[in-house]
Amino acid sequence: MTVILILLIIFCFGLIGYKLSAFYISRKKFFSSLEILMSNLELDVSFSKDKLKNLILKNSENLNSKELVEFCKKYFELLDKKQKLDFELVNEIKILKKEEKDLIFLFFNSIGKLDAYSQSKEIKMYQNKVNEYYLQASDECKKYAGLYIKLGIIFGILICLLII
Amino acid sequence: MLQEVLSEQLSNIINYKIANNELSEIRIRRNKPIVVFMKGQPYYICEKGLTCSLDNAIFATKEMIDDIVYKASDYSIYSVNEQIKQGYIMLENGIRIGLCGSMVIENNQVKTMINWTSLNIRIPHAIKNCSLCCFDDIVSENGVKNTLIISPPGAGKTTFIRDFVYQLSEHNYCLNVTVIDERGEIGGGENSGINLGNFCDVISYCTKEQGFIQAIRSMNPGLIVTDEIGTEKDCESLINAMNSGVKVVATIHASSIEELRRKKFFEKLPVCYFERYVLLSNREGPGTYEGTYNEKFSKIVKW
Repeated sequence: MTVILILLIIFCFGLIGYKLSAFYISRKKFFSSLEILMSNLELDVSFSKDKLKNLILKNSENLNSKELVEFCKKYFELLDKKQKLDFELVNEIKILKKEEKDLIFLFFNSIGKLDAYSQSKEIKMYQNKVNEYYLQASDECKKYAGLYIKLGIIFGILICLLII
Repeated sequence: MLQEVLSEQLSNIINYKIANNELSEIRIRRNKPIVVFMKGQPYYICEKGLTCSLDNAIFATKEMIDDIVYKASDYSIYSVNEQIKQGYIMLENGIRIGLCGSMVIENNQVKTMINWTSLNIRIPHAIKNCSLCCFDDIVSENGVKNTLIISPPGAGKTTFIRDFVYQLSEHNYCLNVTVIDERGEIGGGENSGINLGNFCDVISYCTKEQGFIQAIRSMNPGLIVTDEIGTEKDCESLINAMNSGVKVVATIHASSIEELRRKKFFEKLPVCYFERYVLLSNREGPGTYEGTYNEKFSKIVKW
Protein backbone atom coordinates (compact mmCIF):
# COMPACT_ATOMS: atom_id res chain seq x y z
CA MET A 1 0.00 0.00 0.00
CA THR A 2 2.82 2.41 0.94
CA VAL A 3 4.70 1.61 -2.25
CA ILE A 4 1.63 2.35 -4.33
CA LEU A 5 1.13 5.65 -2.49
CA ILE A 6 4.77 6.61 -3.02
CA LEU A 7 4.57 5.78 -6.73
CA LEU A 8 1.32 7.73 -7.05
CA ILE A 9 2.80 10.83 -5.39
CA ILE A 10 5.92 10.68 -7.57
CA PHE A 11 3.77 10.16 -10.66
CA CYS A 12 1.53 13.14 -9.78
CA PHE A 13 4.43 15.51 -9.22
CA GLY A 14 6.15 14.17 -12.32
CA LEU A 15 2.97 14.91 -14.26
CA ILE A 16 2.87 18.47 -12.90
CA GLY A 17 6.50 18.84 -13.98
CA TYR A 18 5.63 17.47 -17.41
CA LYS A 19 2.69 19.87 -17.76
CA LEU A 20 5.00 22.79 -16.94
CA SER A 21 7.60 21.58 -19.41
CA ALA A 22 4.91 21.14 -22.10
CA PHE A 23 4.63 24.91 -22.25
CA TYR A 24 8.23 25.16 -23.47
CA ILE A 25 7.84 22.20 -25.81
CA SER A 26 4.71 23.79 -27.34
CA ARG A 27 6.53 27.08 -27.85
CA LYS A 28 9.37 25.33 -29.62
CA LYS A 29 6.94 23.37 -31.80
CA PHE A 30 4.96 26.55 -32.54
CA PHE A 31 7.95 28.48 -33.86
CA SER A 32 9.37 25.55 -35.82
CA SER A 33 5.94 24.99 -37.44
CA LEU A 34 5.61 28.70 -38.14
CA GLU A 35 8.97 28.66 -39.87
CA ILE A 36 7.83 25.75 -42.06
CA LEU A 37 4.55 27.50 -42.81
CA MET A 38 6.38 30.69 -43.77
CA SER A 39 8.82 28.97 -46.10
CA ASN A 40 5.95 27.08 -47.78
CA LEU A 41 4.00 30.31 -48.13
CA GLU A 42 7.02 32.03 -49.61
CA LEU A 43 7.41 29.31 -52.23
CA ASP A 44 3.70 29.23 -53.06
CA VAL A 45 3.39 33.01 -53.28
CA SER A 46 6.25 33.07 -55.77
CA PHE A 47 5.24 30.09 -57.87
CA SER A 48 1.67 28.82 -57.51
CA LYS A 49 0.24 32.29 -56.74
CA ASP A 50 -2.89 30.68 -55.38
CA LYS A 51 -5.18 32.71 -53.10
CA LEU A 52 -3.89 33.16 -49.55
CA LYS A 53 -6.80 31.32 -47.93
CA ASN A 54 -6.09 28.25 -50.04
CA LEU A 55 -2.40 28.42 -49.23
CA ILE A 56 -3.13 28.70 -45.52
CA LEU A 57 -5.51 25.75 -45.69
CA LYS A 58 -3.10 23.61 -47.69
CA ASN A 59 0.03 24.39 -45.68
CA SER A 60 -1.45 24.24 -42.19
CA GLU A 61 -2.75 20.68 -42.50
CA ASN A 62 0.42 18.87 -41.51
CA LEU A 63 1.87 21.27 -39.00
CA ASN A 64 3.20 19.95 -35.73
CA SER A 65 1.89 22.66 -33.44
CA LYS A 66 -1.76 22.33 -32.46
CA GLU A 67 -1.87 26.01 -31.42
CA LEU A 68 -0.73 27.11 -34.89
CA VAL A 69 -3.10 24.70 -36.65
CA GLU A 70 -5.97 26.07 -34.57
CA PHE A 71 -4.95 29.65 -35.34
CA CYS A 72 -4.63 28.92 -39.08
CA LYS A 73 -8.08 27.35 -39.09
CA LYS A 74 -9.62 30.49 -37.62
CA TYR A 75 -7.52 32.72 -39.87
CA PHE A 76 -8.75 30.78 -42.91
CA GLU A 77 -12.36 31.29 -41.80
CA LEU A 78 -11.73 35.05 -41.55
CA LEU A 79 -10.17 35.16 -45.03
CA ASP A 80 -13.04 33.15 -46.41
CA LYS A 81 -15.47 35.74 -45.06
CA LYS A 82 -13.21 38.53 -46.37
CA GLN A 83 -12.71 39.84 -42.83
CA LYS A 84 -9.69 41.52 -41.32
CA LEU A 85 -7.48 39.77 -38.76
CA ASP A 86 -8.30 40.85 -35.25
CA PHE A 87 -5.58 40.97 -32.57
CA GLU A 88 -7.91 39.00 -30.31
CA LEU A 89 -7.34 35.94 -32.47
CA VAL A 90 -3.57 36.15 -31.93
CA ASN A 91 -4.14 36.91 -28.26
CA GLU A 92 -5.83 33.54 -27.90
CA ILE A 93 -2.47 31.81 -28.41
CA LYS A 94 -1.62 31.54 -24.75
CA ILE A 95 1.89 30.14 -25.12
CA LEU A 96 3.25 33.34 -26.71
CA LYS A 97 4.72 36.45 -25.12
CA LYS A 98 3.34 39.90 -25.93
CA GLU A 99 6.18 40.81 -28.29
CA GLU A 100 5.81 37.52 -30.16
CA LYS A 101 2.05 38.01 -30.49
CA ASP A 102 2.68 41.48 -31.94
CA LEU A 103 5.00 40.07 -34.57
CA ILE A 104 2.60 37.31 -35.53
CA PHE A 105 -0.25 39.78 -35.76
CA LEU A 106 1.86 42.04 -37.99
CA PHE A 107 2.84 39.13 -40.21
CA PHE A 108 -0.63 37.71 -40.76
CA ASN A 109 -2.05 41.19 -41.12
CA SER A 110 0.42 42.21 -43.81
CA ILE A 111 0.54 39.02 -45.83
CA GLY A 112 -1.31 39.13 -49.14
CA LYS A 113 -1.06 42.89 -49.51
CA LEU A 114 1.97 43.00 -51.81
CA ASP A 115 3.03 41.72 -55.21
CA ALA A 116 4.77 38.33 -55.32
CA TYR A 117 8.34 39.67 -55.30
CA SER A 118 7.85 42.08 -52.39
CA GLN A 119 5.68 39.55 -50.55
CA SER A 120 8.37 36.91 -50.80
CA LYS A 121 10.98 39.35 -49.46
CA GLU A 122 8.70 40.35 -46.62
CA ILE A 123 8.01 36.75 -45.64
CA LYS A 124 11.76 36.12 -45.54
CA MET A 125 12.21 39.11 -43.25
CA TYR A 126 9.57 37.80 -40.84
CA GLN A 127 11.04 34.31 -41.15
CA ASN A 128 14.41 35.59 -39.87
CA LYS A 129 12.73 37.07 -36.83
CA VAL A 130 10.73 33.89 -36.22
CA ASN A 131 13.96 31.93 -36.49
CA GLU A 132 15.39 34.03 -33.66
CA TYR A 133 12.30 33.22 -31.58
CA TYR A 134 12.68 29.55 -32.46
CA LEU A 135 16.31 29.49 -31.30
CA GLN A 136 15.30 31.24 -28.08
CA ALA A 137 12.41 28.83 -27.55
CA SER A 138 14.74 25.91 -28.28
CA ASP A 139 17.23 27.07 -25.65
CA GLU A 140 14.45 27.58 -23.12
CA CYS A 141 13.06 24.16 -23.94
CA LYS A 142 16.47 22.54 -23.41
CA LYS A 143 16.94 24.38 -20.15
CA TYR A 144 13.52 24.21 -18.59
CA ALA A 145 11.54 21.36 -20.16
CA GLY A 146 13.78 18.62 -18.70
CA LEU A 147 14.31 20.61 -15.55
CA TYR A 148 10.61 20.83 -14.67
CA ILE A 149 10.12 17.08 -15.12
CA LYS A 150 13.16 16.35 -12.96
CA LEU A 151 12.06 18.91 -10.36
CA GLY A 152 8.59 17.38 -10.32
CA ILE A 153 9.94 13.90 -9.66
CA ILE A 154 12.45 15.13 -7.06
CA PHE A 155 9.73 17.13 -5.30
CA GLY A 156 7.52 14.05 -5.33
CA ILE A 157 10.30 11.94 -3.76
CA LEU A 158 10.91 14.63 -1.12
CA ILE A 159 7.24 14.69 -0.21
CA CYS A 160 7.29 10.92 0.06
CA LEU A 161 10.33 11.03 2.34
CA LEU A 162 8.62 13.64 4.51
CA ILE A 163 5.46 11.57 4.76
CA ILE A 164 7.35 8.39 5.56
CA MET B 1 -19.92 39.40 -54.83
CA LEU B 2 -19.97 43.21 -54.97
CA GLN B 3 -21.39 43.37 -51.44
CA GLU B 4 -18.51 41.23 -50.19
CA VAL B 5 -15.87 43.72 -51.23
CA LEU B 6 -17.60 46.92 -50.15
CA SER B 7 -17.64 48.21 -46.58
CA GLU B 8 -20.69 47.30 -44.52
CA GLN B 9 -22.00 50.87 -44.71
CA LEU B 10 -21.72 51.08 -48.51
CA SER B 11 -22.99 47.59 -48.98
CA ASN B 12 -26.13 48.30 -46.93
CA ILE B 13 -26.86 51.50 -48.85
CA ILE B 14 -26.41 49.82 -52.24
CA ASN B 15 -28.35 46.74 -51.19
CA TYR B 16 -31.34 48.34 -49.56
CA LYS B 17 -31.56 51.98 -50.63
CA ILE B 18 -30.62 51.94 -54.31
CA ALA B 19 -32.28 50.20 -57.27
CA ASN B 20 -29.50 47.68 -57.68
CA ASN B 21 -30.44 46.65 -61.21
CA GLU B 22 -30.00 50.20 -62.50
CA LEU B 23 -26.55 50.67 -60.99
CA SER B 24 -23.86 50.63 -63.65
CA GLU B 25 -20.83 52.24 -62.06
CA ILE B 26 -19.47 53.22 -58.63
CA ARG B 27 -16.68 55.81 -58.59
CA ILE B 28 -14.62 55.94 -55.41
CA ARG B 29 -11.93 58.62 -55.22
CA ARG B 30 -9.76 59.32 -52.18
CA ASN B 31 -11.15 62.18 -50.07
CA LYS B 32 -13.90 62.80 -52.62
CA PRO B 33 -17.61 61.98 -52.48
CA ILE B 34 -18.57 58.53 -53.73
CA VAL B 35 -20.45 58.74 -57.02
CA VAL B 36 -22.75 56.12 -58.51
CA PHE B 37 -24.06 56.06 -62.07
CA MET B 38 -27.64 54.96 -62.58
CA LYS B 39 -28.84 54.81 -66.19
CA GLY B 40 -25.91 57.00 -67.15
CA GLN B 41 -26.73 59.71 -64.57
CA PRO B 42 -24.31 60.47 -61.69
CA TYR B 43 -25.46 60.72 -58.07
CA TYR B 44 -23.68 61.05 -54.73
CA ILE B 45 -24.27 58.40 -52.09
CA CYS B 46 -25.54 59.36 -48.65
CA GLU B 47 -26.80 57.35 -45.66
CA LYS B 48 -30.34 57.49 -47.02
CA GLY B 49 -29.42 56.41 -50.54
CA LEU B 50 -28.85 58.82 -53.40
CA THR B 51 -28.37 62.56 -53.17
CA CYS B 52 -27.45 65.44 -55.43
CA SER B 53 -26.13 67.50 -52.53
CA LEU B 54 -22.53 67.41 -51.35
CA ASP B 55 -23.56 68.22 -47.76
CA ASN B 56 -24.52 64.73 -46.71
CA ALA B 57 -22.55 62.78 -49.33
CA ILE B 58 -20.27 59.99 -48.10
CA PHE B 59 -16.59 60.66 -48.74
CA ALA B 60 -14.12 57.91 -49.57
CA THR B 61 -11.01 57.42 -47.44
CA LYS B 62 -7.67 55.78 -48.16
CA GLU B 63 -8.58 52.92 -45.82
CA MET B 64 -11.87 52.39 -47.64
CA ILE B 65 -10.10 52.14 -51.01
CA ASP B 66 -7.34 49.85 -49.68
CA ASP B 67 -9.90 47.63 -48.03
CA ILE B 68 -11.90 47.21 -51.24
CA VAL B 69 -8.75 46.32 -53.20
CA TYR B 70 -7.59 43.81 -50.59
CA LYS B 71 -11.02 42.19 -50.40
CA ALA B 72 -11.32 42.11 -54.19
CA SER B 73 -8.03 40.25 -54.35
CA ASP B 74 -9.13 37.87 -51.55
CA TYR B 75 -6.28 39.33 -49.49
CA SER B 76 -3.91 37.99 -52.15
CA ILE B 77 -2.59 40.95 -54.13
CA TYR B 78 0.25 38.79 -55.51
CA SER B 79 -2.31 36.49 -57.16
CA VAL B 80 -3.95 39.31 -59.15
CA ASN B 81 -0.84 41.38 -59.75
CA GLU B 82 -0.94 40.75 -63.51
CA GLN B 83 -4.40 42.35 -63.56
CA ILE B 84 -3.30 45.17 -61.25
CA LYS B 85 -0.41 45.92 -63.61
CA GLN B 86 -3.01 46.49 -66.31
CA GLY B 87 -5.09 48.65 -63.99
CA TYR B 88 -7.98 46.47 -62.91
CA ILE B 89 -9.15 43.57 -60.79
CA MET B 90 -11.92 41.30 -62.01
CA LEU B 91 -14.50 39.92 -59.64
CA GLU B 92 -16.88 37.09 -60.32
CA ASN B 93 -19.98 37.94 -62.36
CA GLY B 94 -17.90 40.12 -64.67
CA ILE B 95 -17.67 43.04 -62.23
CA ARG B 96 -14.51 45.00 -62.99
CA ILE B 97 -12.71 47.27 -60.57
CA GLY B 98 -10.57 49.80 -62.43
CA LEU B 99 -7.65 51.14 -60.40
CA CYS B 100 -5.69 54.36 -60.32
CA GLY B 101 -2.60 54.89 -58.20
CA SER B 102 1.17 54.98 -58.44
CA MET B 103 2.73 52.62 -60.95
CA VAL B 104 5.96 50.96 -59.82
CA ILE B 105 8.22 50.77 -62.85
CA GLU B 106 11.54 48.92 -63.01
CA ASN B 107 13.63 48.56 -66.16
CA ASN B 108 10.83 50.11 -68.18
CA GLN B 109 8.40 47.44 -67.03
CA VAL B 110 5.40 47.90 -64.79
CA LYS B 111 5.95 45.84 -61.63
CA THR B 112 2.78 46.70 -59.78
CA MET B 113 0.53 49.55 -58.69
CA ILE B 114 0.52 50.92 -55.15
CA ASN B 115 -1.12 53.80 -53.25
CA TRP B 116 -4.46 53.39 -54.96
CA THR B 117 -6.30 56.68 -55.20
CA SER B 118 -9.37 55.92 -57.32
CA LEU B 119 -11.58 52.95 -58.05
CA ASN B 120 -14.11 52.54 -60.79
CA ILE B 121 -16.41 49.61 -60.10
CA ARG B 122 -18.31 48.63 -63.25
CA ILE B 123 -21.31 46.41 -62.87
CA PRO B 124 -22.32 44.57 -66.03
CA HIS B 125 -25.95 44.07 -66.92
CA ALA B 126 -27.33 41.59 -69.34
CA ILE B 127 -29.74 43.50 -71.56
CA LYS B 128 -31.76 40.88 -73.32
CA ASN B 129 -32.23 41.29 -77.06
CA CYS B 130 -30.10 44.44 -77.24
CA SER B 131 -28.25 43.05 -80.26
CA LEU B 132 -31.41 42.24 -82.21
CA CYS B 133 -31.57 45.78 -83.64
CA CYS B 134 -28.90 44.82 -86.15
CA PHE B 135 -28.78 41.05 -85.85
CA ASP B 136 -29.97 40.55 -89.43
CA ASP B 137 -27.33 42.98 -90.72
CA ILE B 138 -24.55 40.92 -89.17
CA VAL B 139 -25.93 37.43 -89.67
CA SER B 140 -27.09 36.19 -93.04
CA GLU B 141 -27.80 32.82 -94.64
CA ASN B 142 -24.07 32.53 -95.37
CA GLY B 143 -23.19 32.91 -91.73
CA VAL B 144 -21.85 35.69 -89.57
CA LYS B 145 -20.09 38.61 -91.20
CA ASN B 146 -16.80 39.94 -89.84
CA THR B 147 -18.08 42.76 -87.69
CA LEU B 148 -16.62 45.55 -85.61
CA ILE B 149 -18.74 47.06 -82.83
CA ILE B 150 -17.79 50.69 -82.30
CA SER B 151 -18.64 52.81 -79.29
CA PRO B 152 -17.10 55.14 -76.73
CA PRO B 153 -16.25 53.63 -73.30
CA GLY B 154 -19.27 52.62 -71.25
CA ALA B 155 -21.71 52.63 -74.17
CA GLY B 156 -22.56 48.95 -74.12
CA LYS B 157 -20.10 47.16 -76.41
CA THR B 158 -19.54 44.24 -74.07
CA THR B 159 -23.25 43.93 -73.28
CA PHE B 160 -23.93 43.93 -77.02
CA ILE B 161 -21.51 41.13 -77.90
CA ARG B 162 -22.61 39.09 -74.88
CA ASP B 163 -26.18 39.25 -76.11
CA PHE B 164 -25.14 38.70 -79.72
CA VAL B 165 -23.40 35.41 -78.83
CA TYR B 166 -26.46 34.35 -76.85
CA GLN B 167 -28.81 35.27 -79.71
CA LEU B 168 -26.84 33.14 -82.19
CA SER B 169 -27.66 30.12 -80.09
CA GLU B 170 -31.23 31.29 -79.51
CA HIS B 171 -31.76 31.67 -83.27
CA ASN B 172 -30.50 28.11 -83.81
CA TYR B 173 -27.29 29.04 -85.59
CA CYS B 174 -25.31 25.99 -84.61
CA LEU B 175 -22.04 27.82 -84.95
CA ASN B 176 -19.12 27.07 -82.62
CA VAL B 177 -18.30 30.39 -81.04
CA THR B 178 -15.09 30.98 -79.08
CA VAL B 179 -15.06 34.05 -76.88
CA ILE B 180 -11.62 35.43 -76.06
CA ASP B 181 -12.31 37.14 -72.79
CA GLU B 182 -9.16 38.99 -71.84
CA ARG B 183 -10.55 40.39 -68.60
CA GLY B 184 -13.31 37.95 -67.82
CA GLU B 185 -15.95 40.58 -68.60
CA ILE B 186 -17.87 38.82 -71.35
CA GLY B 187 -18.28 35.42 -69.73
CA GLY B 188 -17.86 36.75 -66.20
CA GLY B 189 -15.59 33.95 -64.95
CA GLU B 190 -16.39 30.37 -64.08
CA ASN B 191 -19.22 30.89 -61.59
CA SER B 192 -20.85 33.90 -63.17
CA GLY B 193 -24.10 32.41 -64.34
CA ILE B 194 -23.94 34.53 -67.51
CA ASN B 195 -25.58 32.55 -70.29
CA LEU B 196 -23.75 32.75 -73.61
CA GLY B 197 -25.76 30.03 -75.28
CA ASN B 198 -25.12 26.38 -76.03
CA PHE B 199 -22.41 26.69 -78.67
CA CYS B 200 -20.01 28.98 -76.89
CA ASP B 201 -16.54 28.30 -75.46
CA VAL B 202 -14.78 30.94 -73.40
CA ILE B 203 -11.03 31.43 -73.06
CA SER B 204 -10.57 33.80 -70.13
CA TYR B 205 -7.76 35.97 -68.82
CA CYS B 206 -5.34 35.57 -71.71
CA THR B 207 -4.05 38.09 -74.22
CA LYS B 208 -5.82 38.26 -77.55
CA GLU B 209 -2.70 37.00 -79.28
CA GLN B 210 -2.54 33.85 -77.14
CA GLY B 211 -6.31 33.44 -77.19
CA PHE B 212 -6.63 33.57 -80.98
CA ILE B 213 -3.81 31.07 -81.47
CA GLN B 214 -5.22 28.70 -78.88
CA ALA B 215 -8.79 29.02 -80.19
CA ILE B 216 -7.85 28.32 -83.82
CA ARG B 217 -5.55 25.46 -82.90
CA SER B 218 -7.73 23.66 -80.45
CA MET B 219 -11.37 24.75 -80.56
CA ASN B 220 -12.18 24.73 -84.29
CA PRO B 221 -14.31 27.87 -84.02
CA GLY B 222 -16.65 29.16 -86.69
CA LEU B 223 -16.67 32.54 -85.04
CA ILE B 224 -14.32 34.27 -82.61
CA VAL B 225 -15.70 37.06 -80.47
CA THR B 226 -13.45 39.42 -78.54
CA ASP B 227 -13.61 42.73 -76.75
CA GLU B 228 -11.71 45.99 -77.14
CA ILE B 229 -9.05 45.66 -79.79
CA GLY B 230 -6.58 48.44 -79.28
CA THR B 231 -3.10 47.56 -80.45
CA GLU B 232 -1.35 46.53 -83.64
CA LYS B 233 -0.81 43.09 -82.13
CA ASP B 234 -4.55 42.73 -81.63
CA CYS B 235 -5.08 43.66 -85.30
CA GLU B 236 -2.51 41.09 -86.41
CA SER B 237 -4.32 38.42 -84.40
CA LEU B 238 -7.62 39.40 -86.03
CA ILE B 239 -6.13 39.27 -89.53
CA ASN B 240 -4.57 35.87 -88.82
CA ALA B 241 -7.94 34.55 -87.67
CA MET B 242 -9.79 35.98 -90.67
CA ASN B 243 -7.15 34.52 -92.99
CA SER B 244 -7.70 31.15 -91.36
CA GLY B 245 -11.31 31.12 -92.46
CA VAL B 246 -12.69 32.11 -89.07
CA LYS B 247 -15.21 34.91 -88.76
CA VAL B 248 -14.56 37.58 -86.15
CA VAL B 249 -16.79 39.91 -84.16
CA ALA B 250 -14.78 42.42 -82.14
CA THR B 251 -15.30 45.74 -80.38
CA ILE B 252 -13.29 48.93 -80.45
CA HIS B 253 -13.36 52.32 -78.71
CA ALA B 254 -14.41 55.20 -80.96
CA SER B 255 -17.37 57.51 -80.98
CA SER B 256 -17.82 57.67 -84.76
CA ILE B 257 -16.75 56.01 -87.99
CA GLU B 258 -14.49 59.00 -88.72
CA GLU B 259 -12.77 58.63 -85.37
CA LEU B 260 -12.27 54.94 -86.03
CA ARG B 261 -10.64 55.60 -89.40
CA ARG B 262 -8.28 58.11 -87.81
CA LYS B 263 -6.88 55.44 -85.47
CA LYS B 264 -3.28 54.69 -86.50
CA PHE B 265 -3.34 50.98 -85.93
CA PHE B 266 -6.65 50.70 -87.74
CA GLU B 267 -4.95 51.90 -90.93
CA LYS B 268 -2.97 48.67 -90.86
CA LEU B 269 -6.15 46.65 -90.95
CA PRO B 270 -7.17 46.34 -94.60
CA VAL B 271 -10.60 47.90 -95.00
CA CYS B 272 -12.12 44.89 -96.72
CA TYR B 273 -11.59 42.65 -93.70
CA PHE B 274 -14.60 43.91 -91.83
CA GLU B 275 -17.90 43.61 -93.64
CA ARG B 276 -20.03 45.33 -91.01
CA TYR B 277 -19.52 48.15 -88.51
CA VAL B 278 -22.09 48.67 -85.76
CA LEU B 279 -22.05 52.05 -84.07
CA LEU B 280 -23.34 52.44 -80.51
CA SER B 281 -23.42 55.58 -78.38
CA ASN B 282 -24.54 57.06 -75.08
CA ARG B 283 -26.92 59.52 -76.73
CA GLU B 284 -30.09 58.09 -75.21
CA GLY B 285 -28.33 56.12 -72.49
CA PRO B 286 -25.74 53.34 -72.82
CA GLY B 287 -26.28 51.04 -75.78
CA THR B 288 -28.05 53.53 -78.08
CA TYR B 289 -27.91 51.99 -81.56
CA GLU B 290 -26.73 54.55 -84.12
CA GLY B 291 -26.58 52.37 -87.20
CA THR B 292 -24.85 49.62 -89.12
CA TYR B 293 -22.29 50.40 -91.84
CA ASN B 294 -21.02 48.21 -94.64
CA GLU B 295 -17.41 47.55 -95.67
CA LYS B 296 -17.36 50.87 -97.55
CA PHE B 297 -18.52 52.71 -94.43
CA SER B 298 -21.92 53.46 -95.95
CA LYS B 299 -24.82 53.30 -93.57
CA ILE B 300 -27.17 50.41 -94.21
CA VAL B 301 -30.61 51.86 -94.56
CA LYS B 302 -33.52 49.76 -93.39
CA TRP B 303 -36.86 50.03 -95.12
